[in-house]
Amino acid sequence: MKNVIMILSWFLVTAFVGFNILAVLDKKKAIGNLECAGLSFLIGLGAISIEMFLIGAIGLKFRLSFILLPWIALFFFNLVFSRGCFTRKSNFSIKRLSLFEQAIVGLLSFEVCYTFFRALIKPIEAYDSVSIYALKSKILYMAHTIPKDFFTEVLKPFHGVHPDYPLLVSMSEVWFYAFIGSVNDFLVKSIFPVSFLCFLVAFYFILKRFVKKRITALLFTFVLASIAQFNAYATIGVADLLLGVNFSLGLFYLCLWIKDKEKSAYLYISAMFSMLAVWTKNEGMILALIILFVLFLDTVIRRSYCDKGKLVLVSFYFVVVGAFIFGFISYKNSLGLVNENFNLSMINGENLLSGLRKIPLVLYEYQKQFFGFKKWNIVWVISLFLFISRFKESFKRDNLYATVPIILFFIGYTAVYMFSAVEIDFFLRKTTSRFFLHILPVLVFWIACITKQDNVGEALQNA
Amino acid sequence: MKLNKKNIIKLICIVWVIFWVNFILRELFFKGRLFRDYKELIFKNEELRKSFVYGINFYSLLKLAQKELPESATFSLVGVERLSLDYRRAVYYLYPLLESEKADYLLVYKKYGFVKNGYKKIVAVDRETFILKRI
Repeated sequence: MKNVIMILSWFLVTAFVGFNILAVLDKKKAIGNLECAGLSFLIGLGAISIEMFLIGAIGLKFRLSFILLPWIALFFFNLVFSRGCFTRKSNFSIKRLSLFEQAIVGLLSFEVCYTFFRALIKPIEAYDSVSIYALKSKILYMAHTIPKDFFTEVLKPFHGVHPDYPLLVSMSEVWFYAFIGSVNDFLVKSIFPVSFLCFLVAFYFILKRFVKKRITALLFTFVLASIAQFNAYATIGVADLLLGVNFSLGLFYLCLWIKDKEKSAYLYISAMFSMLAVWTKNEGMILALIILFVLFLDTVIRRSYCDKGKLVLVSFYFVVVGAFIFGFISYKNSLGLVNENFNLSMINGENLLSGLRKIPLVLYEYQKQFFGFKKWNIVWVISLFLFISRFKESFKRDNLYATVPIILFFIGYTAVYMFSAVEIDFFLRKTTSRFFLHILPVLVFWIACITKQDNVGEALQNA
Repeated sequence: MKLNKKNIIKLICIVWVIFWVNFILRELFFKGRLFRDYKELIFKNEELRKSFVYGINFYSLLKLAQKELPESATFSLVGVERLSLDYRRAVYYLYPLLESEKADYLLVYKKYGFVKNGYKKIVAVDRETFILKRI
């Protein structure tokens, strides 16, 4: 019981931080209350982890009072200047659900509970979660700050700890420890199923705006939640699920803004999650560039640059996300941190030639994943079938902004495999199934959008 | 059954649910036998659960090392493959104790009769799992 209270109070404080940020970003209340709860946690977690990094970087201690002080100030600011932002309209009622919808909610609840159970029954124990994230967070928590030589000297004795990796997960774990006041490698894993749950809530409400039908949105939320690889990664304590979450939310809110440009809150939220994608994993850089490309594409296609107000917003987005990416790269460069698996110096003519020879191996591995039903159910098979049978529709304006990121994802990640110095068989075997998680929510979103006119949910209910 | 759009959707959903249920059950009861593990774990406290996950002997060795080794000591693992999962868990668990090639202490795991010049046995979990100290 004590553990439940600890997790719950940590969740509430984290969501409180995100809620106050959201109150600033979304003054017109474009986001309803449940969606707001989900987003608040995810934004809060990201914001606190960045804040803790900054606190540590300037040599201050990770004290709870230091961490919470700016957010309490923000709360009072909101209380004085935008008091109305604390109430939001309700946009979900369990009472109005049909029997079929209630059944889907039941299955979803089972999947979420089972994910929580699997996460919390065991301590942090998986290879990467122990050797990369948990080790760093333990070192940082015990030091109560980021030691000056943390990236260069402190991490040196730990082979394979990847000092160049972004710190969202490690800093989130330190935040958890700072909150409960000790290292606990069972409870800290709650970060992942809680993120999983919050994302599913946000995913449902976003999807509902696109497909218009509640039943279809519920059905595809269940489809996503029930994919074994997706829910398994909410239990083991690595960054891949969170990267998929942050990237897809960055893209989805951008798509929402493209749909309804009067609601600039969508664009701000998208920018926030694009930055969090960069802060989650190195691959987040590619994914943030994909989001920027989508924004650029829309600006060109719809000639948004003709509207001064929109152009300012778009420029703001590019400047903020670009500055974050540039700042992060500069920081890493200043410490001499280079990723040994892939970095820009590997992109050269010589590697291109050897890289071309790797393509059949990469495609073979992709094919293995596509037909790996144990991990992915039939989601890849369905999407391949839909892509072929509805090729033209995929590139129509309604679906374009989901189709293009998926294609760019495959181009970008294949390029990484081609130019990487890591032995290709090993690299593919160890990473492909994890990397596919980064695009999975977008893929399910794409399937839902492209089958919108088929009314999948209603067809099933009537059947 | 006619192969119209409605029936295809129905078929896809049935296949989806069958796969979903099948892989959960397979993992729980057949291939992974996770149910047996969960049944063992659910009523145990955190210490015992950790011991179950790490392996009873290995966890006892780590606990013993944590108790016996002074704060600034270095250790090396014998009988554990370098960079294996057990090795990673040990390095994580024992921090702030640091792993080193020229270690003050050797943590010997399942190596019956292991001896090394310049080291003596100080404490043991059992006959094949023990700790040596540099003399």
